[in-house]
Amino acid sequence: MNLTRYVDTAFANPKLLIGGLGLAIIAAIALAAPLLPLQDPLDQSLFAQNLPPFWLPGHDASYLLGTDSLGRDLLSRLVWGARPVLIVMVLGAALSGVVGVIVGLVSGYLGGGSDAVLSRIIEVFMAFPPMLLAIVLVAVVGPGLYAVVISIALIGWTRFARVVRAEVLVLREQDFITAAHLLGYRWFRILFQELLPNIIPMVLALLALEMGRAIVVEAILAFIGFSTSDMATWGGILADGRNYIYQAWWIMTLPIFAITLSVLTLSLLADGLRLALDPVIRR
Amino acid sequence: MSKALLQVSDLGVEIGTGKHATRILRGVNLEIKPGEIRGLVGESGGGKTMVGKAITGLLPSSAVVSSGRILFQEQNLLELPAKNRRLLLGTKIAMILQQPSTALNPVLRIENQITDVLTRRLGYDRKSARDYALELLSMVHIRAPERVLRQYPHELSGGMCQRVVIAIAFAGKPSLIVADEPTTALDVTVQFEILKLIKELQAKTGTAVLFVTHDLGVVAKICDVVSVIFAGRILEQGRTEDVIGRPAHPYTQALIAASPRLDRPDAGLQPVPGELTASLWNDAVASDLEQSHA
Amino acid sequence: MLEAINVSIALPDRSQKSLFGRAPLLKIIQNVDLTVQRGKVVGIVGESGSGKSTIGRSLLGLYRPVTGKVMLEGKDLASLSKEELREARFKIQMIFQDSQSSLNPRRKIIDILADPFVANGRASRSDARNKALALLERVGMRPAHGDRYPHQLSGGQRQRIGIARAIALEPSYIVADEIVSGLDVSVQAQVLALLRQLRAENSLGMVFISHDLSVVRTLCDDVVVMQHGRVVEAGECTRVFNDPRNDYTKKLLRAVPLPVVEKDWLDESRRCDSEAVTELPSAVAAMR
Repeated sequence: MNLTRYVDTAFANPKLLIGGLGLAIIAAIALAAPLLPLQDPLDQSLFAQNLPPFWLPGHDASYLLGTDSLGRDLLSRLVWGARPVLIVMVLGAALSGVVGVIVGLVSGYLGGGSDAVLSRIIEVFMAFPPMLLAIVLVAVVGPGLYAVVISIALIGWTRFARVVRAEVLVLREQDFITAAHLLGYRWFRILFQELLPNIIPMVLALLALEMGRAIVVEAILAFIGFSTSDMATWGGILADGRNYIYQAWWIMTLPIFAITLSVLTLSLLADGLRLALDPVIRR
Repeated sequence: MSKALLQVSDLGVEIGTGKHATRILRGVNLEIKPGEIRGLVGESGGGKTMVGKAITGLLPSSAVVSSGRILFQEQNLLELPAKNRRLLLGTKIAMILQQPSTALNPVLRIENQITDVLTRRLGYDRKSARDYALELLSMVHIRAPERVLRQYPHELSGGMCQRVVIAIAFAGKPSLIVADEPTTALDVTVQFEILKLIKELQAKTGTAVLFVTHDLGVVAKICDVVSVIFAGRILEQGRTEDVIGRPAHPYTQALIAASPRLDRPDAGLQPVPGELTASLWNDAVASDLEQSHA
Repeated sequence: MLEAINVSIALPDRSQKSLFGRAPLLKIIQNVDLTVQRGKVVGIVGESGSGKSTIGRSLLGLYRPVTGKVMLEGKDLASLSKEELREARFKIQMIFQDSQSSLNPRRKIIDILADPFVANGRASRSDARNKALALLERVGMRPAHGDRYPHQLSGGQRQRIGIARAIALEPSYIVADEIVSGLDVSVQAQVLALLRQLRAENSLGMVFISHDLSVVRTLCDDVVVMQHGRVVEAGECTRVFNDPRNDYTKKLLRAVPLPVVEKDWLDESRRCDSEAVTELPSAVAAMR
């Protein structure tokens, strides 16, 4: 495959292109934060509280997107806030994915008693209000990024498990699996060579969606003060801004904008992946 | 000889546009006289289904008619406004599809499926529509029409569903019915019954039928005249006994030789020579090039 | 010899399953006898719901009979341990109706054909590749086809791959379930010619399941006619087709449209009687 063909493919699937670029930008910003010429996101200044962003009257040129109630630079906080987002979304989605895919594969492939037990466990987890689960967890292990990651995985794995199980149930009945049994293939070959490649595209799409969800969950937990307090987080900015919504609306608006844009990007990526990886739709 | 009911001339259909366009039909000529059953026989990819879709106006949105006319009762269907064309379908032109189960709406009772057509298309009121629906079901020899009216499609066998579809097709006393592989999905004994039913109703009402199929056996039993299609072109047409009994075109001969024969187990199953189909495709593509240069 | 002796199969009826507990069993086939010798082709004909596919799959040990047994060269399949059954199955393979779903959509043709050798330790990766290429050639395809994915082949080509995979481990018997029903007559003729050739080369015993009586007539030595899960008539093809004794067999044969013009074929008078057009009893309908 040569370069022009890659370019053609990319433009034939704009969702994948935009989604992929978006994710790359979020990751780049998060990783490059220490290298950028920004103020310290935790530096407070009592002389520069609630300053507006550059396009509004009364702004200060050294604070491009304004400041919050403690005079901290919002641009810097948004950029640094992408770091916990990146950690949470990658670890949270990956952990959910690994657990969910294994449970789904086993449950769908084995069927019978083990499937019944695993399915009931999935249902119990799904019946639990996710936020309550997260709050209980934080109460036990204490606030912090890893508590957030675990609570995302505790809720997220059920989605993977359910979808993967349903897919395996369908695939299991296909003739190529029967053929594999007749040809004497053993279970690991059937599971990892015949079944797994057929569910990977769907898992990738789910991962992208789950990353979007992770961002939202992190923001909510940060908003109620259950995430890390050592770093700037988008949810933390939101929580600060809430008290000044009438005097300084931009404090709350900017992180909402960042969250929405990131989640949208990941939804596009999920859609694009689904299209790109389908061997029949793709030509 | 009576005048043609339907006259398709030089019909060309392409899928896609510009340099990605693929020709599906290449100047198809086809004539159907009132009250006759015209077979259109060919293998998959030959374009036989597309002819039926062009006549009924149900071409997929990616398909474009690039040339030709479809005269139906001396009216060019291709020039008719879309709305008028839709009105024609279900009244003067009706369809019978291959999969009766998908032709019917799975969540509606049979009664509603039939009366909907009758009230919306044919101007019946609700009361008389139900009476006519019962009459239609007895016409297609359904024994317990009252009960069938209350049932859903999944509660009926494939053959029964196809009877209902046929009843709906004949409801508006159409002049032409396009039947696309109407018995392909059915068991052979059910196929026999359905063929018999189509022939009987056709003879009774004088409706003309375009019978699209891949099965030469079915053609031999039900069609008066037949056209053989390959690569979007009609290769041979004529009276069924001539085309089947004394095929003139090598492709028709090969097709007959390839069909398994219940009556002569030693004959049949001769693979169609690859050179023959290749040369036919080459001809077809050559004619495309000629046309694009002209 | 591959035999089914008095085999009945019942499968769980999922539509009747209650919230708790198991689904009730529904008898699909009852007391079926069948014998396949090496080098012979036995046809199973019947209409949808006749149980012809079920008997085919039970010959492969995919269903456990509730009565009777399936014997492969004198051994009862049900008496074998899991590992023994795995070994025994190398002797019986299957070709499927739906060539699309019978091939893993995410594996290249060459891998699909090499896997049987690798998975069973019969060849190294590179050796298996050569064997796969040889298989491609045997079924009349080019080496270049090996680099394609199943959806990039035509239906007839995919069916050839299905056949190639079935003969990979050099089985003694093959069950072919409606393998030409989706194909055009010209392609069908090619696939059947290939099947005939392989049978002669390897003296394969074959079970050929089909709804198409004409194909069975041209290909098979013996035929079994099934209706509603039971065998209604069995015997040599010539005898059954020339001199059918069972009423259902007669009815089936009459209903096949031959490519011969016959004006009165559809005439009522020539039929023994016109079928009462009512629905089947629900028990039979449920078998579909």
